[in-house]
Amino acid sequence: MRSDIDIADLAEAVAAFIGELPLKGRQAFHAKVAQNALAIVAREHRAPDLADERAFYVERTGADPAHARAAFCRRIRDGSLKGEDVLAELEPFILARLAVDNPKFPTLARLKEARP
Amino acid sequence: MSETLCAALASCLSRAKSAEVEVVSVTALSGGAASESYAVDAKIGSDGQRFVLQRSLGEGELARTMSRATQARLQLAVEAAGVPVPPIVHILEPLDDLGEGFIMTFIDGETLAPRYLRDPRYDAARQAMTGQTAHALAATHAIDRDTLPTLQRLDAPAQLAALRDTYDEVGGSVPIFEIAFHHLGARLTPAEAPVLVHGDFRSGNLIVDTDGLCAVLDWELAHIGDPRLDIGWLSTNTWRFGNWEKPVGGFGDRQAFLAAYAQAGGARFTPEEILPFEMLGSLRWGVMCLQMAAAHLDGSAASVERAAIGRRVSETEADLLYMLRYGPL
Repeated sequence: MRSDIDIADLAEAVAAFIGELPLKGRQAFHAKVAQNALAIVAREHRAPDLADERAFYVERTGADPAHARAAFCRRIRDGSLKGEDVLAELEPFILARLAVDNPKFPTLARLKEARP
Repeated sequence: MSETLCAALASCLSRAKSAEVEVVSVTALSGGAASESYAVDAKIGSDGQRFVLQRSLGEGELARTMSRATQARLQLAVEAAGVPVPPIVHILEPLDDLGEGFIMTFIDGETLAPRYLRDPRYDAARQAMTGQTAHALAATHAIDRDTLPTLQRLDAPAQLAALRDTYDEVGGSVPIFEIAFHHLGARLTPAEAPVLVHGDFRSGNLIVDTDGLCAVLDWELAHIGDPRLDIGWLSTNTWRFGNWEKPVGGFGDRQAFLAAYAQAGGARFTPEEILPFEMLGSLRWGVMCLQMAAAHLDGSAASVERAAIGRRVSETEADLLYMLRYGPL
Protein backbone atom coordinates (compact mmCIF):
# COMPACT_ATOMS: atom_id res chain seq x y z
CA MET A 1 0.00 0.00 0.00
CA ARG A 2 1.18 3.54 -0.70
CA SER A 3 1.68 5.80 2.28
CA ASP A 4 0.43 9.38 2.48
CA ILE A 5 3.88 10.72 1.64
CA ASP A 6 3.54 12.48 -1.71
CA ILE A 7 6.25 13.85 -4.01
CA ALA A 8 6.14 17.29 -2.33
CA ASP A 9 6.72 15.72 1.09
CA LEU A 10 9.71 13.82 -0.34
CA ALA A 11 11.16 16.96 -1.90
CA GLU A 12 10.84 18.84 1.40
CA ALA A 13 12.40 15.98 3.37
CA VAL A 14 15.40 15.90 0.99
CA ALA A 15 15.71 19.70 1.17
CA ALA A 16 15.77 19.52 4.98
CA PHE A 17 18.43 16.80 4.81
CA ILE A 18 20.60 18.91 2.50
CA GLY A 19 20.20 21.82 4.91
CA GLU A 20 21.89 19.81 7.66
CA LEU A 21 24.98 18.86 5.64
CA PRO A 22 28.15 20.51 6.97
CA LEU A 23 29.19 22.31 3.78
CA LYS A 24 31.27 25.39 3.12
CA GLY A 25 31.96 27.85 0.31
CA ARG A 26 30.81 26.91 -3.18
CA GLN A 27 29.40 23.58 -2.00
CA ALA A 28 27.23 25.38 0.56
CA PHE A 29 26.07 27.74 -2.19
CA HIS A 30 25.13 24.87 -4.49
CA ALA A 31 23.36 23.11 -1.61
CA LYS A 32 21.25 26.23 -1.13
CA VAL A 33 20.43 26.24 -4.85
CA ALA A 34 19.47 22.55 -4.61
CA GLN A 35 17.16 23.30 -1.64
CA ASN A 36 15.48 26.06 -3.62
CA ALA A 37 15.04 23.68 -6.58
CA LEU A 38 13.36 21.13 -4.30
CA ALA A 39 11.08 23.84 -2.92
CA ILE A 40 9.97 24.52 -6.53
CA VAL A 41 9.21 20.80 -6.93
CA ALA A 42 7.03 20.88 -3.81
CA ARG A 43 5.20 24.08 -4.82
CA GLU A 44 4.60 22.87 -8.36
CA HIS A 45 3.13 19.61 -7.10
CA ARG A 46 0.74 21.52 -4.83
CA ALA A 47 -0.09 24.25 -7.34
CA PRO A 48 -3.45 24.36 -9.04
CA ASP A 49 -3.46 22.92 -12.55
CA LEU A 50 -0.87 24.75 -14.70
CA ALA A 51 -1.98 22.98 -17.90
CA ASP A 52 -4.53 25.71 -18.71
CA GLU A 53 -1.76 27.68 -20.42
CA ARG A 54 -1.14 24.97 -23.00
CA ALA A 55 -4.89 24.65 -23.61
CA PHE A 56 -4.98 28.40 -24.25
CA TYR A 57 -2.31 28.19 -26.98
CA VAL A 58 -4.04 25.17 -28.54
CA GLU A 59 -7.35 26.98 -28.58
CA ARG A 60 -5.80 30.10 -30.11
CA THR A 61 -3.73 28.39 -32.81
CA GLY A 62 -5.40 25.07 -33.54
CA ALA A 63 -1.93 23.50 -33.42
CA ASP A 64 -1.20 20.27 -31.56
CA PRO A 65 -0.35 20.74 -27.86
CA ALA A 66 3.39 20.13 -28.30
CA HIS A 67 3.72 22.95 -30.85
CA ALA A 68 0.93 25.34 -29.89
CA ARG A 69 3.06 27.79 -27.86
CA ALA A 70 5.61 28.05 -30.68
CA ALA A 71 2.77 28.62 -33.16
CA PHE A 72 1.36 31.35 -30.90
CA CYS A 73 4.80 33.00 -30.80
CA ARG A 74 5.07 32.91 -34.61
CA ARG A 75 1.77 34.78 -34.86
CA ILE A 76 3.09 37.55 -32.62
CA ARG A 77 6.28 37.75 -34.66
CA ASP A 78 4.57 37.85 -38.06
CA GLY A 79 2.21 40.54 -36.79
CA SER A 80 -1.03 38.55 -37.21
CA LEU A 81 -1.46 38.76 -33.44
CA LYS A 82 -1.03 42.10 -31.69
CA GLY A 83 0.98 41.79 -28.46
CA GLU A 84 -1.00 44.51 -26.70
CA ASP A 85 -4.19 42.53 -27.26
CA VAL A 86 -3.00 39.38 -25.50
CA LEU A 87 -1.11 40.85 -22.51
CA ALA A 88 -4.14 40.57 -20.23
CA GLU A 89 -4.72 36.98 -21.29
CA LEU A 90 -1.09 35.97 -20.67
CA GLU A 91 -0.99 37.59 -17.24
CA PRO A 92 -2.67 34.82 -15.17
CA PHE A 93 -0.35 32.17 -16.66
CA ILE A 94 2.78 34.17 -15.86
CA LEU A 95 1.51 34.88 -12.33
CA ALA A 96 0.76 31.19 -11.74
CA ARG A 97 4.21 30.04 -12.92
CA LEU A 98 6.04 32.75 -10.96
CA ALA A 99 4.11 31.78 -7.81
CA VAL A 100 5.62 28.30 -8.22
CA ASP A 101 9.13 29.37 -9.24
CA ASN A 102 9.68 32.27 -6.83
CA PRO A 103 6.67 33.40 -4.76
CA LYS A 104 8.76 36.10 -3.03
CA PHE A 105 9.76 37.86 -6.25
CA PRO A 106 8.52 41.45 -5.71
CA THR A 107 7.00 41.86 -9.17
CA LEU A 108 4.47 39.11 -8.35
CA ALA A 109 2.88 41.24 -5.61
CA ARG A 110 3.20 44.39 -7.74
CA LEU A 111 1.38 42.75 -10.65
CA LYS A 112 -1.42 41.60 -8.37
CA GLU A 113 -1.79 45.15 -6.99
CA ALA A 114 -1.72 46.72 -10.44
CA ARG A 115 -4.40 44.49 -11.94
CA PRO A 116 -7.50 46.44 -12.91
CA MET B 1 47.70 24.09 -6.06
CA SER B 2 50.31 22.82 -8.49
CA GLU B 3 53.94 23.71 -7.84
CA THR B 4 54.49 24.42 -11.53
CA LEU B 5 51.83 27.15 -11.43
CA CYS B 6 53.33 28.69 -8.26
CA ALA B 7 56.83 28.64 -9.74
CA ALA B 8 55.70 30.13 -13.05
CA LEU B 9 53.77 32.86 -11.19
CA ALA B 10 56.75 33.63 -8.93
CA SER B 11 59.14 34.14 -11.85
CA CYS B 12 56.55 36.11 -13.84
CA LEU B 13 55.72 38.41 -10.90
CA SER B 14 59.42 38.84 -10.10
CA ARG B 15 60.01 40.07 -13.67
CA ALA B 16 56.94 42.36 -13.56
CA LYS B 17 57.86 43.84 -10.18
CA SER B 18 61.64 43.83 -10.77
CA ALA B 19 61.98 42.27 -7.31
CA GLU B 20 62.18 38.83 -5.75
CA VAL B 21 58.57 37.66 -5.40
CA GLU B 22 57.67 34.53 -3.43
CA VAL B 23 54.27 32.97 -4.16
CA VAL B 24 52.79 31.70 -0.90
CA SER B 25 49.50 30.27 -2.12
CA VAL B 26 47.19 30.16 -5.14
CA THR B 27 43.44 29.73 -4.62
CA ALA B 28 40.91 29.11 -7.39
CA LEU B 29 38.24 31.84 -7.31
CA SER B 30 36.12 30.44 -10.08
CA GLY B 31 36.81 28.23 -12.98
CA GLY B 32 35.19 26.73 -16.00
CA ALA B 33 36.47 24.48 -18.74
CA ALA B 34 37.97 27.38 -20.64
CA SER B 35 38.63 30.22 -18.23
CA GLU B 36 40.18 30.43 -14.81
CA SER B 37 40.56 33.00 -12.08
CA TYR B 38 42.90 32.68 -9.10
CA ALA B 39 43.75 34.66 -5.99
CA VAL B 40 47.54 34.72 -5.65
CA ASP B 41 49.10 35.43 -2.24
CA ALA B 42 52.67 36.59 -2.62
CA LYS B 43 55.49 38.08 -0.60
CA ILE B 44 57.79 40.80 -1.82
CA GLY B 45 60.48 40.87 0.86
CA SER B 46 58.45 40.83 4.08
CA ASP B 47 55.53 42.62 2.43
CA GLY B 48 52.47 40.43 1.75
CA GLN B 49 50.55 41.26 -1.44
CA ARG B 50 47.53 39.76 -3.12
CA PHE B 51 46.95 39.49 -6.88
CA VAL B 52 44.36 38.02 -9.20
CA LEU B 53 45.37 35.89 -12.18
CA GLN B 54 42.78 35.71 -14.95
CA ARG B 55 43.58 33.47 -17.86
CA SER B 56 41.98 31.50 -20.63
CA LEU B 57 43.08 28.01 -21.49
CA GLY B 58 43.18 28.37 -25.24
CA GLU B 59 40.35 26.23 -26.55
CA GLY B 60 36.66 26.72 -26.05
CA GLU B 61 36.99 30.47 -25.89
CA LEU B 62 35.09 31.21 -29.08
CA ALA B 63 32.16 32.69 -27.20
CA ARG B 64 34.42 35.24 -25.53
CA THR B 65 34.08 38.62 -27.21
CA MET B 66 37.65 39.74 -26.52
CA SER B 67 40.96 38.19 -25.54
CA ARG B 68 42.20 38.58 -21.98
CA ALA B 69 45.11 40.68 -23.28
CA THR B 70 42.68 43.10 -24.97
CA GLN B 71 40.67 43.22 -21.74
CA ALA B 72 43.83 44.12 -19.82
CA ARG B 73 44.77 46.89 -22.32
CA LEU B 74 41.22 48.25 -22.07
CA GLN B 75 41.41 48.17 -18.27
CA LEU B 76 44.68 50.15 -18.41
CA ALA B 77 43.00 52.77 -20.62
CA VAL B 78 39.94 53.20 -18.38
CA GLU B 79 42.14 53.33 -15.28
CA ALA B 80 44.06 56.21 -16.89
CA ALA B 81 40.71 57.94 -17.48
CA GLY B 82 39.84 57.83 -13.78
CA VAL B 83 37.47 54.85 -13.69
CA PRO B 84 38.05 52.76 -10.54
CA VAL B 85 39.36 49.36 -11.72
CA PRO B 86 41.85 46.86 -10.28
CA PRO B 87 45.29 48.01 -11.52
CA ILE B 88 46.84 45.70 -14.12
CA VAL B 89 50.18 44.36 -12.90
CA HIS B 90 51.20 42.32 -15.92
CA ILE B 91 49.86 41.06 -19.24
CA LEU B 92 50.96 37.46 -19.76
CA GLU B 93 53.55 36.78 -22.47
CA PRO B 94 54.54 33.44 -24.04
CA LEU B 95 57.74 33.56 -21.91
CA ASP B 96 55.59 33.39 -18.75
CA ASP B 97 54.25 29.96 -19.73
CA LEU B 98 50.94 30.70 -17.99
CA GLY B 99 48.59 30.85 -20.96
CA GLU B 100 46.69 33.88 -22.26
CA GLY B 101 45.66 36.35 -19.59
CA PHE B 102 46.77 38.97 -17.11
CA ILE B 103 47.56 39.61 -13.47
CA MET B 104 45.91 42.46 -11.56
CA THR B 105 45.95 43.78 -8.01
CA PHE B 106 43.43 42.12 -5.69
CA ILE B 107 40.87 44.66 -4.45
CA ASP B 108 39.35 43.78 -1.11
CA GLY B 109 35.61 44.29 -0.71
CA GLU B 110 32.17 42.81 -1.21
CA THR B 111 30.91 41.63 -4.60
CA LEU B 112 27.79 39.86 -3.35
CA ALA B 113 25.10 42.45 -4.04
CA PRO B 114 22.49 41.04 -1.63
CA ARG B 115 24.97 41.79 1.18
CA TYR B 116 25.84 45.40 0.34
CA LEU B 117 22.26 46.15 -0.70
CA ARG B 118 20.74 45.00 2.63
CA ASP B 119 23.33 45.04 5.40
CA PRO B 120 23.08 48.21 7.57
CA ARG B 121 26.92 48.32 7.64
CA TYR B 122 26.68 49.46 4.00
CA ASP B 123 24.13 52.28 4.58
CA ALA B 124 26.72 54.98 3.81
CA ALA B 125 28.02 52.95 0.86
CA ARG B 126 24.55 52.76 -0.70
CA GLN B 127 24.12 56.51 -0.21
CA ALA B 128 27.41 57.18 -1.99
CA MET B 129 26.97 54.71 -4.83
CA THR B 130 24.51 56.73 -6.91
CA GLY B 131 27.13 59.45 -7.40
CA GLN B 132 30.02 57.00 -7.64
CA THR B 133 28.46 54.75 -10.30
CA ALA B 134 27.25 57.81 -12.23
CA HIS B 135 30.78 59.18 -12.18
CA ALA B 136 32.34 55.84 -13.21
CA LEU B 137 29.94 55.48 -16.14
CA ALA B 138 30.29 59.12 -17.25
CA ALA B 139 34.10 58.71 -17.20
CA THR B 140 33.86 55.43 -19.15
CA HIS B 141 31.55 56.95 -21.75
CA ALA B 142 33.79 60.02 -22.14
CA ILE B 143 37.00 58.10 -22.92
CA ASP B 144 38.84 59.14 -26.06
CA ARG B 145 38.32 56.18 -28.38
CA ASP B 146 41.82 56.63 -29.86
CA THR B 147 43.28 55.40 -26.55
CA LEU B 148 41.38 52.09 -26.74
CA PRO B 149 42.17 48.74 -28.33
CA THR B 150 39.94 47.86 -31.30
CA LEU B 151 36.48 46.98 -30.01
CA GLN B 152 33.30 45.71 -31.59
CA ARG B 153 30.66 48.28 -32.62
CA LEU B 154 27.30 47.21 -31.23
CA ASP B 155 24.29 49.52 -31.26
CA ALA B 156 21.03 48.80 -29.48
CA PRO B 157 19.21 47.50 -32.60
CA ALA B 158 22.16 45.16 -33.30
CA GLN B 159 22.10 44.01 -29.66
CA LEU B 160 18.40 43.27 -29.97
CA ALA B 161 18.96 41.30 -33.19
CA ALA B 162 21.82 39.31 -31.64
CA LEU B 163 19.64 38.60 -28.61
CA ARG B 164 16.84 37.35 -30.86
CA ASP B 165 19.29 35.04 -32.66
CA THR B 166 20.39 33.56 -29.34
CA TYR B 167 16.77 33.24 -28.25
CA ASP B 168 15.91 31.39 -31.47
CA GLU B 169 18.97 29.15 -31.17
CA VAL B 170 17.89 27.92 -27.73
CA GLY B 171 14.34 27.23 -28.86
CA GLY B 172 12.80 30.43 -27.45
CA SER B 173 9.03 30.46 -27.86
CA VAL B 174 8.15 32.65 -24.88
CA PRO B 175 5.12 34.77 -25.89
CA ILE B 176 5.91 37.77 -23.67
CA PHE B 177 9.50 37.81 -25.01
CA GLU B 178 8.08 37.97 -28.56
CA ILE B 179 5.95 40.97 -27.56
CA ALA B 180 8.98 42.66 -25.97
CA PHE B 181 11.15 42.03 -29.07
CA HIS B 182 8.42 43.60 -31.20
CA HIS B 183 7.94 46.55 -28.81
CA LEU B 184 11.69 47.29 -28.57
CA GLY B 185 12.25 46.81 -32.30
CA ALA B 186 10.09 49.87 -32.84
CA ARG B 187 11.80 51.93 -30.13
CA LEU B 188 15.55 51.22 -30.04
CA THR B 189 17.55 53.39 -32.40
CA PRO B 190 21.31 53.57 -33.13
CA ALA B 191 23.29 55.79 -30.76
CA GLU B 192 23.67 59.41 -31.89
CA ALA B 193 27.19 59.56 -30.47
CA PRO B 194 28.65 56.06 -29.94
CA VAL B 195 30.94 55.72 -26.91
CA LEU B 196 32.84 53.06 -24.96
CA VAL B 197 30.20 50.97 -23.19
CA HIS B 198 31.13 48.59 -20.34
CA GLY B 199 28.44 46.12 -21.41
CA ASP B 200 27.89 44.38 -18.07
CA PHE B 201 27.80 47.25 -15.56
CA ARG B 202 25.61 45.96 -12.73
CA SER B 203 25.52 44.97 -9.08
CA GLY B 204 27.57 41.78 -8.98
CA ASN B 205 30.37 43.19 -11.14
CA LEU B 206 31.15 45.96 -8.66
CA ILE B 207 33.48 45.70 -5.67
CA VAL B 208 32.02 47.64 -2.76
CA ASP B 209 33.28 48.48 0.71
CA THR B 210 31.64 50.47 3.52
CA ASP B 211 32.53 53.73 1.69
CA GLY B 212 30.95 52.56 -1.57
CA LEU B 213 32.31 51.68 -5.00
CA CYS B 214 35.94 50.47 -5.04
CA ALA B 215 36.28 48.92 -8.47
CA VAL B 216 34.40 47.99 -11.63
CA LEU B 217 35.09 44.43 -12.85
CA ASP B 218 34.43 42.25 -15.89
CA TRP B 219 35.19 44.41 -18.90
CA GLU B 220 35.05 41.55 -21.38
CA LEU B 221 31.70 42.62 -22.88
CA ALA B 222 32.89 46.19 -23.50
CA HIS B 223 32.13 47.58 -26.95
CA ILE B 224 31.43 50.80 -28.82
CA GLY B 225 27.74 51.61 -28.57
CA ASP B 226 24.97 53.41 -26.73
CA PRO B 227 25.69 54.83 -23.25
CA ARG B 228 22.04 54.25 -22.31
CA LEU B 229 22.71 50.50 -22.48
CA ASP B 230 24.94 50.67 -19.37
CA ILE B 231 22.45 52.84 -17.47
CA GLY B 232 19.48 50.64 -18.42
CA TRP B 233 21.32 47.41 -17.55
CA LEU B 234 22.36 48.82 -14.14
CA SER B 235 18.68 49.68 -13.56
CA THR B 236 17.25 46.34 -14.72
CA ASN B 237 14.99 44.89 -12.02
CA THR B 238 17.05 41.67 -11.78
CA TRP B 239 20.09 43.64 -10.54
CA ARG B 240 18.09 45.41 -7.82
CA PHE B 241 18.09 42.09 -5.93
CA GLY B 242 14.67 42.78 -4.40
CA ASN B 243 15.24 46.51 -3.68
CA TRP B 244 12.84 47.47 -6.46
CA GLU B 245 12.05 50.86 -4.92
CA LYS B 246 15.63 51.83 -5.78
CA PRO B 247 15.65 51.35 -9.56
CA VAL B 248 19.33 52.13 -10.10
CA GLY B 249 21.22 49.02 -9.00
CA GLY B 250 19.01 48.54 -5.95
CA PHE B 251 20.60 51.62 -4.31
CA GLY B 252 19.59 54.75 -6.25
CA ASP B 253 16.82 56.79 -7.86
CA ARG B 254 16.61 57.41 -11.60
CA GLN B 255 16.46 61.22 -11.41
CA ALA B 256 19.30 61.49 -8.89
CA PHE B 257 21.46 59.14 -10.91
CA LEU B 258 20.86 60.93 -14.22
CA ALA B 259 21.55 64.32 -12.61
CA ALA B 260 24.85 63.01 -11.17
CA TYR B 261 25.72 61.44 -14.53
CA ALA B 262 25.19 64.75 -16.38
CA GLN B 263 27.08 66.60 -13.62
CA ALA B 264 30.03 64.24 -14.17
CA GLY B 265 30.12 65.09 -17.86
CA GLY B 266 27.70 62.53 -19.26
CA ALA B 267 24.88 63.33 -21.69
CA ARG B 268 21.59 64.68 -20.32
CA PHE B 269 19.11 61.82 -20.46
CA THR B 270 15.56 61.72 -19.16
CA PRO B 271 14.27 58.60 -17.36
CA GLU B 272 11.95 58.04 -20.35
CA GLU B 273 14.98 57.71 -22.63
CA ILE B 274 16.42 54.98 -20.40
CA LEU B 275 13.24 52.90 -19.92
CA PRO B 276 13.47 50.96 -23.24
CA PHE B 277 16.98 49.96 -22.16
CA GLU B 278 15.65 48.70 -18.81
CA MET B 279 13.21 46.55 -20.79
CA LEU B 280 16.07 45.40 -23.03
CA GLY B 281 17.89 44.46 -19.81
CA SER B 282 15.05 42.25 -18.58
CA LEU B 283 14.79 40.63 -22.00
CA ARG B 284 18.56 40.08 -22.06
CA TRP B 285 18.60 38.41 -18.65
CA GLY B 286 15.56 36.32 -19.64
CA VAL B 287 17.37 35.05 -22.75
CA MET B 288 20.50 34.39 -20.65
CA CYS B 289 18.34 32.26 -18.31
CA LEU B 290 17.01 30.31 -21.32
CA GLN B 291 20.59 29.85 -22.52
CA MET B 292 21.78 28.47 -19.19
CA ALA B 293 18.77 26.13 -19.02
CA ALA B 294 19.60 24.91 -22.54
CA ALA B 295 23.25 24.31 -21.56
CA HIS B 296 22.01 22.13 -18.70
CA LEU B 297 19.50 20.23 -20.82
CA ASP B 298 21.88 19.45 -23.71
CA GLY B 299 24.55 18.35 -21.25
CA SER B 300 27.16 20.87 -22.41
CA ALA B 301 27.27 22.43 -18.92
CA ALA B 302 24.94 20.52 -16.63
CA SER B 303 24.62 21.82 -13.05
CA VAL B 304 21.98 22.34 -10.40
CA GLU B 305 22.66 26.09 -10.64
CA ARG B 306 21.95 26.26 -14.39
CA ALA B 307 18.88 24.06 -14.08
CA ALA B 308 17.51 26.29 -11.32
CA ILE B 309 18.26 29.47 -13.32
CA GLY B 310 15.98 28.03 -16.01
CA ARG B 311 13.16 28.61 -13.54
CA ARG B 312 14.03 32.30 -13.30
CA VAL B 313 12.63 32.92 -16.78
CA SER B 314 9.23 33.55 -15.18
CA GLU B 315 10.74 36.45 -13.17
CA THR B 316 11.71 38.22 -16.38
CA GLU B 317 8.36 37.36 -17.96
CA ALA B 318 6.67 39.09 -15.02
CA ASP B 319 9.00 42.11 -15.28
CA LEU B 320 8.37 42.47 -19.02
CA LEU B 321 4.63 42.03 -18.55
CA TYR B 322 4.61 44.76 -15.89
CA MET B 323 6.54 47.22 -18.07
CA LEU B 324 4.47 46.48 -21.17
CA ARG B 325 1.12 46.65 -19.40
CA TYR B 326 1.55 49.06 -16.48
CA GLY B 327 4.68 51.17 -17.09
CA PRO B 328 8.06 51.65 -15.38
CA LEU B 329 9.03 48.95 -12.87
